[in-house]
Amino acid sequence: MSDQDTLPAQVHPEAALLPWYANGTLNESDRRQVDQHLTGCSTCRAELEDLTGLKSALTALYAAQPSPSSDMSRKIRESIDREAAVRHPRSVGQRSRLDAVDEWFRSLFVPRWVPTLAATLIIAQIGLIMWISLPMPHPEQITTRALGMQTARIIVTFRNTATDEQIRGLLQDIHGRIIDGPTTDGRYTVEIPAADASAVQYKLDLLRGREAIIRSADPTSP
Amino acid sequence: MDTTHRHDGSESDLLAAVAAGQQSAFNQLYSLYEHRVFQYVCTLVYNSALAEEIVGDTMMAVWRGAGTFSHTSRVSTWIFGIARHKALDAMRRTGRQQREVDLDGIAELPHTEDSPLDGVHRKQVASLTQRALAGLSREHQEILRLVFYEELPYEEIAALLSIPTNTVKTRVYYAKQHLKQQLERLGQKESIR
Repeated sequence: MSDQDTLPAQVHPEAALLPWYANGTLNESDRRQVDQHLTGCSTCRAELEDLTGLKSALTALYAAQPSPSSDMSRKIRESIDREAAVRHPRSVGQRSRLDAVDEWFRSLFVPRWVPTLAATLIIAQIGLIMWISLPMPHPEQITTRALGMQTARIIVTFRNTATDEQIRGLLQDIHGRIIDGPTTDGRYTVEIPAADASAVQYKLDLLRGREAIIRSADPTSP
Repeated sequence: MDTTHRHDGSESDLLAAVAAGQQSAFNQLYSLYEHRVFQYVCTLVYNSALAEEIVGDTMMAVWRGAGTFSHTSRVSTWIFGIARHKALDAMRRTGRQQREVDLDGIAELPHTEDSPLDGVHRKQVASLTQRALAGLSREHQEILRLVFYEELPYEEIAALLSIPTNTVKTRVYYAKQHLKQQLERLGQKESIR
């Protein structure tokens, strides 16, 4: 059979697109063209209504048409079973747990986003390994400044009678740590967390109050 | 819009699973297409026994060739394309031209929600449409099915039938015109009786 390749002259070009307007598969540009045309053309609106009715009638008709015989389904499934058995030597009825795990694992790769996720995880792992393998900074280079916390420094002189235990306890009380010293005259530089001058003063007062341990405590600029 | 066959994304995933050798995925795909491919092939070969043979060959080709699906078309277009090639090949081999399949039982299927009067009317309409369709050429029957039942875009129908998109559009237009003429002719005959 040979189709005519042109539509009758009186038929609007948009009418040729109406069947796909009715089945909902027109691309955006075609759909806009048809929409625009339909607003001003009653002939094409009637044609569209006609096509919509035809679609409903044909859908009902086709859906009710006879199915293939069950024999056909059985034969096809048997053929697939035979081919699958060749691909995987164990028969379908004797699938081991390993096969089930294998199938489950393969199924993870079916959605198309899984390779992307896998690539992301691999990159993240490489990044983690590189970070771990970087040389650690020398402990002396570590300062609390790195943590972004405001600090202050106090010059402290301990009494000769003060024990190590007393000094450690006092430092814990003020959350301080010795960062330098002792100097030749026995002074230590202690760093303390302090948000402002009042916090520094509070800790200075606390230190000065421990006369049994502290000989002197004076602020200094960091 | 009818959404009878909207499975594109999930069908693509199913086909990927078939390519990986999953029989369960193939069974799902088979259930989706068994009826539709059989009906489509019947439109081409007019013989239900031969159509079953072709459907079998088609589904085996899907099982074996799922990995070759290029994702440039819908899964349905790909499967119907395989079926069409196999049907044309079978027709060349057998030289089959005569319509042998009898679809007369279709209009007799009950429709549970109908009132008796609706049921009679539905049967009459279905019977009339079916007879009008039977009077169309194979090409016109085929294209009406692809547009209105399979809901394929015109670009994919053009690829499936290996014809220009303009021919697809004009073919549908003339198929619809012929169907209308057939319906009018049959309607007149019915009223004369």
